[in-house]
Amino acid sequence: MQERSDKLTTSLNKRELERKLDIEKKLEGKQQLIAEHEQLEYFTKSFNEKRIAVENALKSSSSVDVVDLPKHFDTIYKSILMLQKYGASSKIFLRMYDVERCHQTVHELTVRTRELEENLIPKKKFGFKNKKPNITDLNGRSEDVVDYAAPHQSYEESICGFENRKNETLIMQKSDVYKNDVVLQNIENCLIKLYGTPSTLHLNHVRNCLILSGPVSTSIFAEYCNDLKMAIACQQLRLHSSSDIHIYLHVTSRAIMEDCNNILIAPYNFKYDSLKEDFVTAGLDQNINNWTSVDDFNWLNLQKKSPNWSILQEHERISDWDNFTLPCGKFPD
Amino acid sequence: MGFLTVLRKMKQKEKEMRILMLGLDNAGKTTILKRFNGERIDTISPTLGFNIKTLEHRDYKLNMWDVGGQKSLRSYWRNYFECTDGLIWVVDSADKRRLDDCRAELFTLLKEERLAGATLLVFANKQDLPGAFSATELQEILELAKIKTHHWKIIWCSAVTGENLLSGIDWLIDDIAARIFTLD
Ligand SMILES: Nc1nc2c(ncn2[C@@H]2O[C@H](COP(=O)(O)OP(=O)(O)OP(=O)(O)O)[C@@H](O)[C@H]2O)c(=O)[nH]1
Ligand SMILES: [Mg+2]
Repeated sequence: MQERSDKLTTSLNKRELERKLDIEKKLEGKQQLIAEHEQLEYFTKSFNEKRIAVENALKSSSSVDVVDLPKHFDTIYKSILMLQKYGASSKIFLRMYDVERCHQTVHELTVRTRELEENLIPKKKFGFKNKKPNITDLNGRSEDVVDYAAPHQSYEESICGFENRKNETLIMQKSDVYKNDVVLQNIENCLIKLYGTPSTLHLNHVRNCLILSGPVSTSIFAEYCNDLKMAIACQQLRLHSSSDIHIYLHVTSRAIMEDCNNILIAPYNFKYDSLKEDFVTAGLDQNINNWTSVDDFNWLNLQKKSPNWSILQEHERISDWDNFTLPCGKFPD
Repeated sequence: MGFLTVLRKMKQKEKEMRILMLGLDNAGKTTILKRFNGERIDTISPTLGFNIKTLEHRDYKLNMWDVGGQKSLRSYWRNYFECTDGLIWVVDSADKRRLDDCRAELFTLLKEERLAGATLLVFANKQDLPGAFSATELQEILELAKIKTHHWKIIWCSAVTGENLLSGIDWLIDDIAARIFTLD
């Protein structure tokens, strides 16, 4: 008798517990939903407030004293940067749609600010004396011995890009690369496509690959690369200790190389839907391309062209990247 | 009166400072200089030799020397050491792979007798990049605490956004001024 009633109580208790747990679970779910909703609402609200602040600052630009304009625009750029960082830090609970909207807003504001800045600020600032930059004559180089300190490896590296890859197709989309420092490191036999506008791009130990990239806002820095074909656009290209590379290049200032050989250059020919727009976003002029002027730091002879690079003959240029395969064979899909 | 005294007196009258900007290639030296001077920064090429700019800031005349940082140019750096009041060492805070190289070059430089007494400002540049190390992290990685021979400070900045450039330069000027223009 005692035993039965015990059993009954136990099962009753159990049911009661389950019921409670179930309610809690539902409640939790509901609260979670509410929290998510509130978070999103809060985000949208404060994002908009920040956006409006930037817009107001832009509107007030015409009444700012010319002398104070650089500072004024600096503040605006800073606010836009904060806006971008705010969006990036909230990515976890934002929907794809919101993320896109944030990018769009940041992009539009940046372009508007840049246009306004160019219109309002005269080329030369008041109060400063400018001397024309001088270029030195560099002859008679000598060797320098550098005392290299012990390497430091205790800092964890988390990169935006790819590392230690082989025989793969690697693709990054607009939102992955936007304003980021993208790194490609220790990569072999890969097809790499970067759509959109990284802030900067680093290539290190990349071999036998095809790299196609959208416009990079600042510089591309490549070191220890061999047997590449790449179509890249940037403000500066800096190529070091590399060889056997075909570069389809758009560069708005200048390309340089150091300790390189067998570099062949052609004009940029990577095409995708939003390329034109991306040039604007990156702040690169699509009409200025200095792809034919490469400075070789190992060849400071102005009379004769460096033997380390040349222009890729037209009939040797590849025009269709979609059907291109690397010598090593096919790429996995 | 020795040469140095004459030089110091001359500088004192003109309130002139000679500032040398060095650092690895691609660190952003030229961009910092142009940004500070209110010029466009989107047409800058890697520096083949050097740039000089004379700027007036606060009451001072700053002779800024910006020398190219490519490996093949570093052996020429020493041609610019003489009479340097302030050294600006520019670091690409996001170029994690070359920080060892960066530290080694900096410490080689600091051993230079002709730079003894110069104030050192380390600019932790490119802070707008998400992957950038902070100034505090860089201070540790570059082992700046080991520097006992120079007044130094590390300051974060972004030449692209222009953020914090002014506070860096202002610190440098104040430190130099306290040293040269108060002597007699
Ligand atoms: N994202 C970002 N890029 C920067 C910043 N400062 C400079 N850059 C970019 O970095 C690249 C190199 O800048 P430069 O000013 O030419 O570098 P440098 O130190 O003068 O290089 P050398 O003349 O070769 O010694 C350029 O493409 C700049 O636009 C910054 O604060 N943030
Ligand atoms: Mg330069």
